[in-house]
Amino acid sequence: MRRLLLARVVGLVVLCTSISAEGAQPKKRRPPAKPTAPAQAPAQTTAPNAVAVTVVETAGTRAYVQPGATAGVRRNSTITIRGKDYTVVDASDSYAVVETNGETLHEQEKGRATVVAEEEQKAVELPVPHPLSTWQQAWTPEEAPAEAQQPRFVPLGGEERNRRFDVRFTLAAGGIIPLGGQVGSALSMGELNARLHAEPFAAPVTLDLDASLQGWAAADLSNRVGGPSRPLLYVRELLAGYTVGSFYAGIGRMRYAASTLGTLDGARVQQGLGEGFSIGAFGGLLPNALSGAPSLDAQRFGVEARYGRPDLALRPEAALVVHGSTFGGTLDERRVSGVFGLYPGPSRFGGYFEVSSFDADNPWKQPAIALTAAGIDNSVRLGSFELGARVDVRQPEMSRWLASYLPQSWFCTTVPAPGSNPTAPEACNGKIDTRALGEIDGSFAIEHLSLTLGGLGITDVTQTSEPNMVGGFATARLLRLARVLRFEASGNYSHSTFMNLFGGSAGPGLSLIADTLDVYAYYRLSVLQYRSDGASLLQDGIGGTIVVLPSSDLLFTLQGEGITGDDAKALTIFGTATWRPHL
Amino acid sequence: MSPARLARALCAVVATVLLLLLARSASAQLLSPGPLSKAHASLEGDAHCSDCHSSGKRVDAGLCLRCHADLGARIAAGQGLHGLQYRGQACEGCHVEHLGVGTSQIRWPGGGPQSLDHAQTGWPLNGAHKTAACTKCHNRVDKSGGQTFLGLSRNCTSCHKDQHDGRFGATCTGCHDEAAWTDLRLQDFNHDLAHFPLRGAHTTVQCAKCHSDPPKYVGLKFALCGDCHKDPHSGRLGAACADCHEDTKWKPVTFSHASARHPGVSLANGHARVACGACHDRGNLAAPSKGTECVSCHRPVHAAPFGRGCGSCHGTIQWLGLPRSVGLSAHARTVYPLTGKHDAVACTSCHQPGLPAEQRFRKLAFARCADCHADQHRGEFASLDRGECRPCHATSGFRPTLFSADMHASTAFPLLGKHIASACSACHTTPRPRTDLHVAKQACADCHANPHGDQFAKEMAQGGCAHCHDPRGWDLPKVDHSTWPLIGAHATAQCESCHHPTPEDKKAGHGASYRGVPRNCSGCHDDAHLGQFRLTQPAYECDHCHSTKGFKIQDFDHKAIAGWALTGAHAKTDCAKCHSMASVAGGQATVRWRGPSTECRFCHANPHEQRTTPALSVAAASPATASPQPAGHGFSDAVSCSACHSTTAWRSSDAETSSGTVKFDHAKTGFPLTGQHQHASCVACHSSSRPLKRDCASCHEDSHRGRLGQSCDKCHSAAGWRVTQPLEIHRRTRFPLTGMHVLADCTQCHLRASEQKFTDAPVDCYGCHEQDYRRPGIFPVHVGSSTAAPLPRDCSMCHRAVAWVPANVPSSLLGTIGSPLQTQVAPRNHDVRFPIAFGSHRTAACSDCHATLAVPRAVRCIGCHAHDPVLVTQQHRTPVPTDGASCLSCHPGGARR
Repeated sequence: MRRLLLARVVGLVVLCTSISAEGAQPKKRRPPAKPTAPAQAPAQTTAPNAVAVTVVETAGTRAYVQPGATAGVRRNSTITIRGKDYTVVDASDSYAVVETNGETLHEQEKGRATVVAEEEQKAVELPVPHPLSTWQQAWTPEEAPAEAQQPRFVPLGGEERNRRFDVRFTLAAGGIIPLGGQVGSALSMGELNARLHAEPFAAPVTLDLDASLQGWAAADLSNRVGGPSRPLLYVRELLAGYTVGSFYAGIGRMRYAASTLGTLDGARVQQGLGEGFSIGAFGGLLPNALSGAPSLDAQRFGVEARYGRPDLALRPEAALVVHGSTFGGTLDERRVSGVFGLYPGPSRFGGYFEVSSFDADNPWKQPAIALTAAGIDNSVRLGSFELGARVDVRQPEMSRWLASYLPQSWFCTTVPAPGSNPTAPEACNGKIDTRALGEIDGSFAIEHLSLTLGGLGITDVTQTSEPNMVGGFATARLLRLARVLRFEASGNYSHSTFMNLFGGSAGPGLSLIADTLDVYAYYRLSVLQYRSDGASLLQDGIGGTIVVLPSSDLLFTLQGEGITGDDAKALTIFGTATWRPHL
Repeated sequence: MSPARLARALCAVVATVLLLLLARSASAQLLSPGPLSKAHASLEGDAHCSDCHSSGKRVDAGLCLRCHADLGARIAAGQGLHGLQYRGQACEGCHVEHLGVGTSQIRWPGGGPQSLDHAQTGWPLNGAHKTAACTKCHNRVDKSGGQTFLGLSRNCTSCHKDQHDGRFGATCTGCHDEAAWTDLRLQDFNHDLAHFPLRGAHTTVQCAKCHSDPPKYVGLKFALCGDCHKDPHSGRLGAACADCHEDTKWKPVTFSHASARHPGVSLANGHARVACGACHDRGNLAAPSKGTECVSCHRPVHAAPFGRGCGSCHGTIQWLGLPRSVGLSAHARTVYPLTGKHDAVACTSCHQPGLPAEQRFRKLAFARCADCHADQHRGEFASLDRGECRPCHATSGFRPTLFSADMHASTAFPLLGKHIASACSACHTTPRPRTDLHVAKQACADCHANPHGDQFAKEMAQGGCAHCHDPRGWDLPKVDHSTWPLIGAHATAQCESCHHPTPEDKKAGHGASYRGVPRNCSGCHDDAHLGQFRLTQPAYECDHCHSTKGFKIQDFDHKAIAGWALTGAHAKTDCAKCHSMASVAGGQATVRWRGPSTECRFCHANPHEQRTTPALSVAAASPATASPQPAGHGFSDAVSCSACHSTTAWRSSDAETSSGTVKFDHAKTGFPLTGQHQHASCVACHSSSRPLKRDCASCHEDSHRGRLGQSCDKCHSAAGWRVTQPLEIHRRTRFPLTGMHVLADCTQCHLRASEQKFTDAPVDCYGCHEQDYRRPGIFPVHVGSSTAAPLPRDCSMCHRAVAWVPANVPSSLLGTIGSPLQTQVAPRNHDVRFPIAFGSHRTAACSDCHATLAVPRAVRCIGCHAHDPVLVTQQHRTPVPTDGASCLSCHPGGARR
């Protein structure tokens, strides 16, 4: 009875404990029993990394199975037959071969083989290249990135000159004064030059003037030759121009009638043809050859074709001029001339030529057609180096018009006619002074140093009796020392028909007051050896240049040199004052 | 109606409505008498009432048996408790529902299953069955998981395990009853069904003789007679009593030669003819005195080490005609053990019965396979190990062959490369069994199709496929590609990458073309740049930039390849800043690497360009061109930015832009601004109307029209055109200005100075001094006379620029000028010191000057000149010495001063 009671008490305690335990812990919701899925049957389908193989043959210690590499059964594939693994030791496209390792494999036995990725890189078949013509017209012009930019305007420099009105006055004066009992008289000259460019109208009409009022003074001025060449008034240009598009017309005194011709009183028209080509024509009266005064004696006319493409890499420019002239009512000049220039980078290559046609009875005994001038020049810049060369062959300009102003001996070699009066005018002997010049120079410039070396030779290619010369020069400049100082030294030597000359000069220069004042002085020592006696004569010289630029519209220059020594004693001085007002 | 009645009526209506609403949701609970038991839990709900109840009935027994069909079948058959006792009665008489899930629905007669009279089921319980718990037999469950009393069989084995494994049948009651298992009825026991059938005298033996008392029926040993019987021979005659004794009785012993029950050795066959005394010389029960081994009587004849126990093989006392098993076991100890298939071959196949016994066994030839086997290969492998089969076949069978790929090297076609992996049948195509292994076609093309058409006809004729291909694989060619060396990535590229069949190839019916393939990059590679490098100049092929190492350019040298070095900020700039994506016609897009310009302005807009009003002309600023062109106002596009800027930064350290003006150190450009250039505005030179050049003529008109070259600075200064140094310029010509020429004006020689064609002036003296040459009264007369030839017109032969006199006449001219007599006796250099061949002294006699010829240096002048001292003083304005030496010091050569 007591046991029963004790058991009930214990049971009650256990029951309470279990109830309290259930109440203490949150009742976990038992997850719903998942339906027991039937055990999945082994996959019957071929796994993607395994293929079924069949033993097709056994020979020796090897067995051959199919398929081979085409199905991915390659070297190192594992073939499982009857629960035993074999490793493929080699494979062809159709077969794979395994070492049986003493095991017996029977033909037609089945198995499975793992697939081994192809070891070698799969051949990447390149896409068929498109023919180039595919893109022949496919590309469109690129829009430059700059076109989409709107940068803030950054002005450079001051206000540009008013190009519609440009006036420049220049006063020049100078003199040559014998010193120290030097035989000879003093000479002085003065000139007032005015240059004007004006576009006074709304219409594209331009006016250009270049004229000088000049005078010379000397005790023996009348005895000096060249009097006609010293006119009181000389007008280089007085031209009215009209421009519409690429058409240009001008009338008046032209400083240059064409690219190869000088002053002409007449008219010129020019029309652009596009692509840099233009053609022009000119005609008018030739002024006095010495004084420049208008004259009716001779007329010159011609055409000019010009080409210029500064936008191209070589920046080519060329001109071809065909012109003729009349003098005394008859045809005088018949000439073709041309110039050209190419500018590859910072270099230049240019040249010119002149072919003249003469009458059969021309006084200079020239052939009917003669090359009267030709030359080329070249300068090449390579970094700090610059090389230049020039070859020039030229005969004097010959025309009946010009011969009416100049002595015959200026054109040719004259000889007296046998048995004639020695004082009578002489005729040409058929030999023309054909001067040939060859010049070469090179320079090297870095920040503060400039070196220049050069040499030239001049001779006559048709007559050995004509004067010739060969010489060289060297110049060294130390520049911008302390920003204001420079020093120059130069030397030269020449051996000519007349004399030998040794010379050297050196001197400092200063640029002061923000480069508005430039002063340069030098001392020169020369040694002269005349051909006639061979004695050496010393010549000392002291000279200098002063340039003053007080403002952008004023310029003053003064240069002079005093010479003394065995050869000559003289002082030369020359000064200019230029005013170019801003209009 | 009174208000009280109206209120009661309203309450009644409201109560009715509420009851109807509640009744709709609780109608099922109201109709159901209670929850169903667990077994019928699936029928819970008012929708399932009709599953058990029919209209007018409480429970429809038919509906019950629709689910309990097995029970219905038993009721119909009159079997079991329901079929025998309750047939036709209502189910609810014993089975009560709607009492709750945990309640039992069965109302057992008597109160519980243990109180049921099992005889009512048709199978009364007797013996031990009476006391067995119901669940000992009724332990099955139905499909709903509940206990069921159905499905039991009345066979004993349906409840009891058959300890006899069925040997005594399924009816246990033959021996056992329901009282106890051990209560057997042995009188009917058939001992033949046991493991030891009783024969002979055993049938009469009391069970307890063998099964003891109390009886023991399991675990008894009875395999040997000795398990029950004692051996009176003490084991000498072995344990097999039955060899001599029968189970009917011990004696007499039934020993006979024919029965071969002779202990130790059989007396069958040959021994049967041997008299007992021939061996048992000491009595039949005693061992023979010469021993009991075979060799005691027989001489061994076998060469094989079969030992002395002849009985192991000849146990039947028979020399020949032994069983196959004997031969097989003996063969293993011979020099020719039977292995493989030989083990299954009939003995007579080799030991042919037709042969004499000697030749059939001992002298049987077996050294070569061919001794037994015919050569199925008809001598094809006669040269291989003398035609033996062993190199290729094993005794395990002719197949598989032992002929391995390695052994194929001994043939005319060693297996190399992929051929090793090819099964024999790939080439040896004769049907199995493959006895003819000849392969007539051994050329590559005999097995492999030629995909190349006739493009390698020459190579195919020389070596077939092997000319180019390696047996290790088609993709390992040994092609001489030196005509187009495979370097870089090409060395590892697959042939098919370039040599893939073109539509033309496919049309021609062959594979890729290997000849005539384009050799330039674009022949194989599509142009990712869409032709931009090949359509524009300079045209570049791929190899201009790319190498064969890969298309990706590791270190692109922009300067070397593009010709434009990336310096400064450009080196850090993203390529796309300048090279943008371009879409071309057709929808393709690529990076536009080749821009139309490498100039700065292409990528950088010009901040200095501000075109306000169009200018009319540039004639003043550009006289050189003289052709009017529109001008910009400011720096134009024709000026390269690099003239002022570097790639390091746009803003120069020298630039000061705060005031709106720039002070640029132009000297850094290599063109210092000096003189008037300082005040020239930038646009005066840097304008769109002219290309920027350093030559003076690019900005300035050449007034000399090219006659003096292009180096203006040799004569002119930046200070001004008029600032020239004529003396210095002339020193570099044929005509340096020296002597009197220093004092000459330019116009005296350059008569056309206005044209500024300075080269027109003649440089020979005669050109300018013709009048001096022709001057009359000059001595000698230069122009000549009727008697004298004219003098040379090269004045410098005699004269200096210092003065016409003194002149130095070269000796070659002395005869020409017709000098007086004294010049012929005077020293040759007299004219240098004092000219007497010409000039005013040409007529003087020697004595006029030389007082005495013995002292020629002692000269006098006053003999002819101003011998009056007063006059001399007046002339010189001061008293001067009058001796000859003093005169000459001031008048060298007699010149005037």
